[in-house]
Formats: sequence, C-alpha cells, structure tokens
Amino acid sequence: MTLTALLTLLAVVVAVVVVIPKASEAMKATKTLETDKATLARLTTKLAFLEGLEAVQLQERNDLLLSVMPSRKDPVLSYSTIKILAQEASLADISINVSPGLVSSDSAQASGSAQITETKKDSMSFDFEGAGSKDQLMNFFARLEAVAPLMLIKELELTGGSADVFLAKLRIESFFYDLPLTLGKIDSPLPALTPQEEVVFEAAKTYQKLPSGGEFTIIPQGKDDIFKL
Amino acid sequence: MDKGIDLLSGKVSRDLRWEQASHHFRKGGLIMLLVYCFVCAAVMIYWLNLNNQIAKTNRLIEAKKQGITGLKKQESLHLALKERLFFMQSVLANNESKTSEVVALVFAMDETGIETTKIELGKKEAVVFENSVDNALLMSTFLEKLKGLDSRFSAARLDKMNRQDEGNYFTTVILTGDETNSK
Repeated sequence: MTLTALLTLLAVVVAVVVVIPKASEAMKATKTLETDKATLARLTTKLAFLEGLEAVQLQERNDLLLSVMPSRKDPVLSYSTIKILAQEASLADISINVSPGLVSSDSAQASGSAQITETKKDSMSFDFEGAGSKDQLMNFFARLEAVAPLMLIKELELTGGSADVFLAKLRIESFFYDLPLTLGKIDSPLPALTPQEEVVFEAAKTYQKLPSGGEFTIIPQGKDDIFKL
Repeated sequence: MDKGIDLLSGKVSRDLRWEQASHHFRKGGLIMLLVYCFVCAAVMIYWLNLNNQIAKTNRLIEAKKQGITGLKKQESLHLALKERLFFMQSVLANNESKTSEVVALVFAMDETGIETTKIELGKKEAVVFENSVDNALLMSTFLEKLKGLDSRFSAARLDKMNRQDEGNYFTTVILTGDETNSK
C-alpha cells in the first residue's frame, strides 16, 4: 500500500515537473517546425530561381531598360532627343519648354525617405512647338514614339496653315524610375517576369537610342589648372 | 437444537473478496503505471525528435540563406528589372495607341478637295479634327471614309458642318471610344 502511494506520488510529481512542460514545449515546437518548414520551402524555391538567373544577361536587360526609362530625371537628355528628332524631321520654328521641377540628386535622397518616395517614379512634361508638312510631322511623331528614352505625346494640336504647312503644339511626357533601394526580406518570394512584362521588354527592345553628345558640347573655359601659370 | 459450531463464518468470506479486490487493484495500478510510463516516454521522444528536426531545418535554412546572399547581385538586378517593367507596363497600358498612328489615320482621309485643317488629340479623351471639303460630291466621299473609322473607334460624330458661299464645306468630327487610346 505504501509502495503504491509512493509510486502514485512519484507519477504526479514527474507529470507536473517533466511531462506537462515537455508536452507544452512539444506543441510549441510543432508550430515552430511548421513555420520553419514553410520558410525553408520558400528559401529553396527562391534559391533555385536565383540559381537559374544569369547575372550577365540580367545586367544587359537592365542596361537596355535604363536607356529606355532612366533612373534619374534627365531633362537634358529628353530635351536634346526631342530637338535632334525635330531637326532630323526638318521642322521649322522649333520651341521646347520644360519645367523639370524637383531633380533627384544624391544629396536630396540622403536627406529623407519622403523625398526618396517622391522621386521613385515620375514624369516631366515638355511643351513643344514646331512647323512642318504632314510627312515631316508624321515622321517626327513616329520617331519620337520609337526612340529611347521613352516619351509619349499626351496632347497634340495640329493647325493647318498655308501651303500644306502645319503648326504642331505638343505636350510630351518623359518618364523615369529610380532603382530599388532595398531587397526586402531574404525569404520574401521573388516572382518571375510575367508574360505581360516579357511583352513590355520585347517592346522596349524596339526603342532606338540616339547617339548622344552632339547637342550639348561642353566648351572648356578658363584655366584647367589654376596653379599653372 | 439450534446451537452448534459454525465452521464457515461470514467473516472469512468477506476477507476473500477483499483479497480479490486488492489483487485487481494492484494489477490495474500496474497496467496504469505502464501506460503512464509509455505516455511519458512517448512525450519525451516526440519532444526530442521535434527539437532535432527544428535544429536540422534551421541548419538547412541557414545554408539556403547563405546561398541567397551569395546571389544578391542576381536578386537586385532581377528586382530592378521587374519593377521597371511593371512601371513601364502601367505607362504603356494607358497609351497603347500611338499618336503617329492616329494622325496618319486622319491624314489618310485627305485627297484632292478634302483637306484636314486641324487635329486635336488627348483633350477630353477624344480625337477632334476639322476638314475643308470642296463640294457636296466630295462631302459624300468624306462621309463614307468617316464610316470606315468605325473599325477603330466606337463612335465617329460629325459635330459641325458649315456650307460656305463658295460651295465648300467646313466640318468638325469627333472620334471617341478608341480602346487603345485612353489618353
């Protein structure tokens, strides 16, 4: 009888001290294991996806897209592109006005996250005026919508004048998109490009890049070395 | 007559039942103890096994994380590409119709005696153009050509038509509902 009572007491003590806490831990561990397995599955998928990507090919694709849609607001590039195309189309009385607004800079980005959000994606509007024949203007429009950086004609007004000459007033929009600043969580999924995005990329490949440098030549003035007589 | 020696007293009978009950109790207690020990052992083994699995999974997670960190360049390039394409897609989705195509479409209606004098695009999501038509016969041709624009636009409305003293016409046409042009 005494032995039975002793065993019962021992069993109760073992249950309270060891078994119940361990059972509770086991329940928590089950949930932890489920979470860990899900994380592992996500990481495995992501790693397999990343291993399938080629850095060189990605870099080439990014470079191509950057030429179509620059990462920084670049009024000079868009301005010079419009002007070159208008001159190539032999348009007369060319006038281009632009109000770039906030132009992103490294110092501006370092000052606060609000500005980073503001400059993440944006566009600039150019007011263009020029005169030319139907063919010249159509050639200009077609070229403008086919060159890099990406520009779209948002508004157009063509007014016929004398001798088949039209005066064109356009509002042209030029776009830019900043590079991502963070990569996000390491286990966050990395989706592949959608078929629509592939189509957009194929379309981006058709945009021609104009040779640059001719429009705004920097003429050196003054002394290059102020310590040299 | 009734008095005698009772060798089988009831007391002896009660002791035997107690012995039997005690035997069953001990036997049952032993079985319960065994079951209890089994349950305790099972809980402990399960707990240890879970901990082992968690440790193993964590090791694998760390290995995968290191692998992903090693491919950070690919990840950043892919993200940049995807974000830029997504934005471009949204920009191009609102401007699928190229202005040059619409202008060419309007100018294609011109012929000898029919001249486009003004085109407006992008205002109020419509294409507005004005024409000068030399005579009534050409006006009929012009209207036929206008019908041909139905394939591209949901509505081609002749907004104004003025006949001049010289016999020529000035027209204003509004094209709406170009599904590929939502500027």
